[in-house]
Amino acid sequence: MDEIEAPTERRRVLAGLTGVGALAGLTLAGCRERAEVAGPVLPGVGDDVADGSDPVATTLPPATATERLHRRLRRSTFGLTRALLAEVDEVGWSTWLDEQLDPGDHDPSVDELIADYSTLAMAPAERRALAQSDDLGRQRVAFELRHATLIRAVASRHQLREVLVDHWNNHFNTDTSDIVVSLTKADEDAAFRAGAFGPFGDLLLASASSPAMLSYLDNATSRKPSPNENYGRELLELHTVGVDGGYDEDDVIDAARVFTGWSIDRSTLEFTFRPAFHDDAPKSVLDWATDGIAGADGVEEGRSLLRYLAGHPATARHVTSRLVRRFVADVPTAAVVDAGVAAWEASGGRIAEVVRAVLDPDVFDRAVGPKVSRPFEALATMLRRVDATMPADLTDRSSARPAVALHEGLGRLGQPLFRAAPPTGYPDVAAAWVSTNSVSVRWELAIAMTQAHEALDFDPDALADGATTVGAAVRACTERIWLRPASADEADAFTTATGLADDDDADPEIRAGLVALALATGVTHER
Amino acid sequence: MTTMITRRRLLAGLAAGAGVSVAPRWTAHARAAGTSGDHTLVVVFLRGGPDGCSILVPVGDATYHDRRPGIALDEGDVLPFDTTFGLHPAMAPLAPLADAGRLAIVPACGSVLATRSHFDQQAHIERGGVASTAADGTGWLSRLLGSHDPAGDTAGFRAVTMGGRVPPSLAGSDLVVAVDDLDAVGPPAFPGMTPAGIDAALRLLPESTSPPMVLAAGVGALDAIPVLLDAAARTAGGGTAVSDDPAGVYGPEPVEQTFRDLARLVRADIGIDVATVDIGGWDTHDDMGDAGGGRMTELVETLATALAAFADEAGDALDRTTVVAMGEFGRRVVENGSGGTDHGRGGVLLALGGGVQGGRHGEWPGLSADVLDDGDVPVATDWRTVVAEILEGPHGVTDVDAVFPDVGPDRLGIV
Repeated sequence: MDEIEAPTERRRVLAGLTGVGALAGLTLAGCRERAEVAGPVLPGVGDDVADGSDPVATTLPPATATERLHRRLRRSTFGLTRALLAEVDEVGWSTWLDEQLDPGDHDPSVDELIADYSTLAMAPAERRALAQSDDLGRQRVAFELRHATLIRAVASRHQLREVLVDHWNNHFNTDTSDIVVSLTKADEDAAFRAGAFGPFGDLLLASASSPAMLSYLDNATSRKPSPNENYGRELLELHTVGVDGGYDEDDVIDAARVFTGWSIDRSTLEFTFRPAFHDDAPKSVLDWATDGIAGADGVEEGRSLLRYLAGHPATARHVTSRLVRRFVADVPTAAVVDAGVAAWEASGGRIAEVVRAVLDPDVFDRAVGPKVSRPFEALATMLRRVDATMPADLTDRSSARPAVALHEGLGRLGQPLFRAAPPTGYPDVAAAWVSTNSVSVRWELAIAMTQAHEALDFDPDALADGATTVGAAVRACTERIWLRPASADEADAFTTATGLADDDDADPEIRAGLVALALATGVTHER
Repeated sequence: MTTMITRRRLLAGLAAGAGVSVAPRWTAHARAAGTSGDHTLVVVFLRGGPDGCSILVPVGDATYHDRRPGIALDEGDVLPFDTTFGLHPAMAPLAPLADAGRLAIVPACGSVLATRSHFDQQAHIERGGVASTAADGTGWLSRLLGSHDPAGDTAGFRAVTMGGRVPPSLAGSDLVVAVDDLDAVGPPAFPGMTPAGIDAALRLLPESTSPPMVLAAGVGALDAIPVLLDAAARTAGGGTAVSDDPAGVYGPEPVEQTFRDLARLVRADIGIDVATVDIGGWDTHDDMGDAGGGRMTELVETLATALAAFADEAGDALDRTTVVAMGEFGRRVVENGSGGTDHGRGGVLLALGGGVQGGRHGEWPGLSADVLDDGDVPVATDWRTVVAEILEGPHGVTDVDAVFPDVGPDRLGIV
């Protein structure tokens, strides 16, 4: 099960799901090791907004009220389910959204499912001791966070919060290939969950002072007189004002100097400020300046700069643009970004208000453009459609194997959780994800998932609604998994694929095949 | 519906219809070696900003040692290259190719855009230097495929990207197939279903349920699978291992395997004009190490092993292939306090393969303070001039401006 850390087996990594599964092989190498093949980071990084010149925003064609509602729900969740649609049908969109934007601290829908994952709540030093104790300990630290994240995406009632946690984990990306990140990522993830809807400044401070970020962008070792510029640059370019935010190379260097001394305690793996590392000379970043603060209070320079950047108008626009791209369109219209920025300014950067403004039907429905599910969203949607709960206890290796293989599948699709190497996180536009590879591997994933249904705890026969003939099984599977009836042509294609006729008996293998085909064709790409 | 149709009869019916409805849009089409249009350009993107001075090492420049007290390599550490430079010792797998005059290196090479942002610079390079606001702000390799089609293979895929995500340099092209593991290519095996039925269903069903680009990719995958299966079968078992695995127990490292798979596709001669592959991890802000090991040694070893494996696996096909490897920028000359280097400007470009004139090409301005660009190796050679020369030479491109507008007439004589 070393594949959790670094898949070494090139072929048939999904075989663990089935024992016999064969991968199409048109797959991705970008997930193995930090120093190996990394995917391009370009698409979806800038603040591309259609302003009449470049590039052109694409909006979806007019739709019925139901279709519009479903789009909003898809973008606010990890995928539609029958239960979700029934709930929204009962309480209405705005009540549902209000609840989503103000969830409680506890998440009873998943607490039980992840109750045994004790590494999530450990102190970093405890995790290190466990990881150093044996292979199982090391694997638990990596796996429990990943699998808890997948379980939350699939089963949490607080879907919108989980969508945002995923967004912040990418906005403030750190990569668990780094050993310190791997031991502290759970704390960073928890901070992003606690602050998902809160003022942006809180998220920014949580990220800046997290050991994961301090290690990943090397600030922990940055010291006068030769500061490490990695964090200072990405703080400006990616986390706050954006690459067009008006800063220059001197601002990058001064930002790096401000954060000299922000470091990690080697014994606790928690944040510490090292006055001896800190450059206390005067510095300036954009319109912010300091005469320099010596001693233990030198940490205040960084806090002050973070407050300044969190309140900068360019930050409001940059961060809102990335949120809009997450929810609305790869290339958003100016109108929807403006609506989000206005809500940011009126609320002091409260993310809940920005998201509320962007998801307002009067704004969203006019601006919504096509989006393609990234692998993690696609996998979560598939699992939601079949009501899988994916129990996995690593001490029982054979029973945990299918769950582990789901994460390996994400690796083959180029999106292993918490393993994005570049500081942009995973790209958020369709062009980065759609390829012959992505489609064929999703087919394989649907097949492998269905074949491992017992371990993942769902019932293909129930999805076929107990149908005994091919035709009835086709109708039941498509309706349950696509959430709409298949057309006559579509139903014919399913039946034809079996090589049987509608009235022929559908044995369990045929029913499983139909479930897999419905998953492979119906729910894996449209976001 | 009727129960009178047996499974066998239905299959026969499918097979009869298959010639029309399941006809591959793409077919394998071998070309005669040596004819126009048989050249393959392989672009290796070293993402993260590789430190040029740790690949082609200026050991003959005293300034180099002064500015890098913790990470400089000594003259005795490097492989001899020329009077100013040596090669990083981890470049050893490429030494035979360098000795044979098949490896060209361009120091102080990079982009004319002055940004030190990974993402802006990668984007600029993937567009081939065309501003994003231009109407033709497409990938430069897409423009190459669109403007240069000597074999007239309008029905075939002509580009391969190793890995799952198509890079922006190929954005906008529908001639690309993404491949990782060549030996695992095969049709999806839905339980209880027939291959022909699955093929037909997967071509029809996404039309009504998926975005158009997904449908196109799905059809592309179904069409490409037989071509790739054929190529894999014809090229199995070639080459000899480069990495240290004498018993053959573990097999090659993943990156090496990826480059071997790519070389097999080139060797199979299925009409690939362009291929892309990435090696990431070059953003070495800390712990670069020295001749005794460290991150740079690991990275350079990965690169050198991969390129050497490609050359080995390609065999004679290397004569009709040119491999170009480069990153988005080089790194600062002075090391930082973390034993690493920060983002810089000029880096190195490596070129390997048929027609390449080995050795060092292009101007080397040195490392004295007055020539540095804000502390960084300046860009003395625009990377596009190097690639333009390869395009005009072995690749047979007549209108290089269609790929690199305003690239200018400067050429280094690298091919």
